[in-house]
Amino acid sequence: MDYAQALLLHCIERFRGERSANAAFYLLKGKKSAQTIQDASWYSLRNVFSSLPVLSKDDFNRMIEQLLRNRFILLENLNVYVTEAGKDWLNKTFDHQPFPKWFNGWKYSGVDEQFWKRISLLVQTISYWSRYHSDFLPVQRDLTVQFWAKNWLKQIKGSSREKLAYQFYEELRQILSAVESLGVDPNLFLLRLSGYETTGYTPFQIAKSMKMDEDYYTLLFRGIIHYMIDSSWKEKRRYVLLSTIVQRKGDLFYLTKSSLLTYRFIREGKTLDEIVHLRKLKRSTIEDHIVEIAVKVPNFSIDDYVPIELQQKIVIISDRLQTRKLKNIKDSLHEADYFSIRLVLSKIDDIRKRLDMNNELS
Amino acid sequence: MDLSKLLKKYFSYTEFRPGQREVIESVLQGKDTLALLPTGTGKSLCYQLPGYIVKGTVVIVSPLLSLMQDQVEQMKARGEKRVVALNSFLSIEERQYVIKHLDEYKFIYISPEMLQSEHVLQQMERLTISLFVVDEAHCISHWGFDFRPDYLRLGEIRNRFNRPVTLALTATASQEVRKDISRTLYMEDVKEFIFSVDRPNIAIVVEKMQNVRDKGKRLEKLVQFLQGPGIIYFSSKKLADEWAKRLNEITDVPVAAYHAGIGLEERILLQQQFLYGELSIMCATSAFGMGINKENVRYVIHFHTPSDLESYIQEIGRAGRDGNPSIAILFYSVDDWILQRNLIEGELPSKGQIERFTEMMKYSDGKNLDVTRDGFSDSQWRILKKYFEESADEKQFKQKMESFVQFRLEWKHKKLTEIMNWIESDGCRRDRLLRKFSEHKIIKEENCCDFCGINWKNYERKSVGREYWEIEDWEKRLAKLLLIRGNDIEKSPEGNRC
Repeated sequence: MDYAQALLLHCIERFRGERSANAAFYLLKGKKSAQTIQDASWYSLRNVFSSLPVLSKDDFNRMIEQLLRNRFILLENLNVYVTEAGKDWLNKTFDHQPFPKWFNGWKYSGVDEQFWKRISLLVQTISYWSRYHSDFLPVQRDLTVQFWAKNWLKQIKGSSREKLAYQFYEELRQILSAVESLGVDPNLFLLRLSGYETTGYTPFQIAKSMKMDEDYYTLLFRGIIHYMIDSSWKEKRRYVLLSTIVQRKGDLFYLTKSSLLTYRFIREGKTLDEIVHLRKLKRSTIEDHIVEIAVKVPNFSIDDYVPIELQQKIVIISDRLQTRKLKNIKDSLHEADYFSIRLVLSKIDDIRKRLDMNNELS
Repeated sequence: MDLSKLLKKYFSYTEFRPGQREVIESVLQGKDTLALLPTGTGKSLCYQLPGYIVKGTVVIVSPLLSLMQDQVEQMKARGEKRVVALNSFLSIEERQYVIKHLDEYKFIYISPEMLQSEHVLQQMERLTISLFVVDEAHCISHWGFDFRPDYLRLGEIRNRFNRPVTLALTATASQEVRKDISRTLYMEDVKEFIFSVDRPNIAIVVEKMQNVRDKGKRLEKLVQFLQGPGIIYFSSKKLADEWAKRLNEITDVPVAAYHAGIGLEERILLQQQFLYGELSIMCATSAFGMGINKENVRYVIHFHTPSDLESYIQEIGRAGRDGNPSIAILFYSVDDWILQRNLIEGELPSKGQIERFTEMMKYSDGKNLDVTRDGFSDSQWRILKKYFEESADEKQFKQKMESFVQFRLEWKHKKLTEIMNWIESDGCRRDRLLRKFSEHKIIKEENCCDFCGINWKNYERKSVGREYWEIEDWEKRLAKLLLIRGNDIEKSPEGNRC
């Protein structure tokens, strides 16, 4: 529970009283609503998005009570703030248990669960198969996963059972060696697997034996899964088998129908004014669409709408004022309109990265 | 037809356990059959084996979802692929797929809830059902300790399936319950088989204590003295968790907690660990035990008095399936009365809950009945929904509910008094227990019960516990999983797997 509290506190700190505690709950759970996705983008919280997908409202309420009791947060006119003591505790917790770098709930939430269910069943099946045993109780009871595994094995034709087992072993050994070289213990993943004469351990058991908070353990575990999905997709030739376990889908966040249509026009090279004319909609509506696109589409460039210089100014001002309130930003930067500010906030992490890079170069 | 050959071929057993052959033969002669077989004696074989002889489909109604899943997986593991479990564990897509392809399955396990769906019933009517099995049949009866309202419709459903040969199975049923079963299922000319619930190799001990603290102290002593593996039953998830933690600290044997609050994937791992002797003690709620075929459980401890003798018999029956000496120890203190009364009342809907439910139904127009169940337990919701659907109006619903609750409370209190009386009574415990099931102790056994006297030496720990698991090098573990030659570190499964 400790680490979950730290994550909650982290969100509240970033919100600086501008968003409610409930907004943090939805963000940590990974709710795919427009508001939550915007919160994650504007307040640079994409990395912790969906970091606690099974958190219940009851547990959340208990955590808030606990934070209040410890005086780590305080409530002021329905706004919630982190105290100095809270900041200290948060820093200490993150120093001791850094948030896993490879964790990417924004990109892999849900996909990671599918990957785990499939790979755990495959390893178990291959482990028994290669020894010519077919009688075992599957670790995954989900029929869709069982059907998938059956098909997957059918498609891997032409190689013997021993060969398949060896290839699977070799790919896992390589990818886990890479994990180890990043300073992460591969056993966090491996101890979960079951196979012939080997029973996996539960997260509770592993966390306990490693003297670790269970939520933190689960985060590290999912981080390894995210790394495995990521690397296997990037190096398909090296990870021939692993890269086929989950399919690379389109974007995790689907655009609404109307925004999708606007997006199509943009890709055809139409300008904002042209789209307003073509779709016979209000300018503000099309602006809303473009903001939604900026939040949801990873490589969407806003340079056509906001000059790069103004982008940087907005980032600097909003970071200096430590706010994501449009009005506060606009009051200090008259040349920017609300549309530009919203667009920039949606891409703030990317722009900041570019800014840092320029500073380093110059 | 040689039943023994089929037994060998499909199940790899060389001989039947007591009762199995008789029940199978009766079913194969086309007789409606009611069999009372104690737990752990292979009830499922009684319908699985006939499945290989009769032409049509075998339909098995079971109220225990996790047990159903386990059975299906075990059948698949021994090579029977034409088996499916139709229950709420399936996603909507899976369910649709299965319902469309029902005729491809030989064995269909189905929950009573699922049988309430008209769509499912229509699809099932098209099948040739040659054997209709009602597992845990005592749930049909108002007199049963585990009454399920959904079961009452099974007779009518059976008629719609053209009255297939029916096999009602239970581990425990009094005469009145047995009558109820035959009547509700419209079974005719029923052949009844009743096999003794007595398990002579399990010594029965009751220990009376002042309070929970004394129980705790005694438990700590016992787990260090007794030869494992063992199961310790608690009345709550929280206590199971707390004691698993505590026992891990004070003993040198690995302990885990098991209850319905733990995720399915983890429960599967814990079961396997227990089966293979990687865990010695399970601190459990009554959620643990069904479908777990571990032969060498040496003791079962009840930290609290169970709610009735039927549950007690089922739970101690998980010890000593290999026939070797085992012991069942029940802790009793006066607090147990209050605790059990609270539990019993908590299971049934209160007046306030009946009101709230009625309000909810008013506003939801009967839609979305399954989403807003906050504040109701599964069993409460099941009962409320059932009676709501059967009532003409609000008034009737409330009347029906209240008289039902009243009836159940009286019944449960009666059962509670029964087990408490058994605890307080003098005389041979086994004999008194068997009398409740219209049996008598036949032979005098050594190590019968605390009244007749037992020799504790028989249950003393012989083997030394091993360290809680050591973390091995990850590359070694990976090799062990996937490479045949990597498996040089031998680990043999403890006990038999069947």
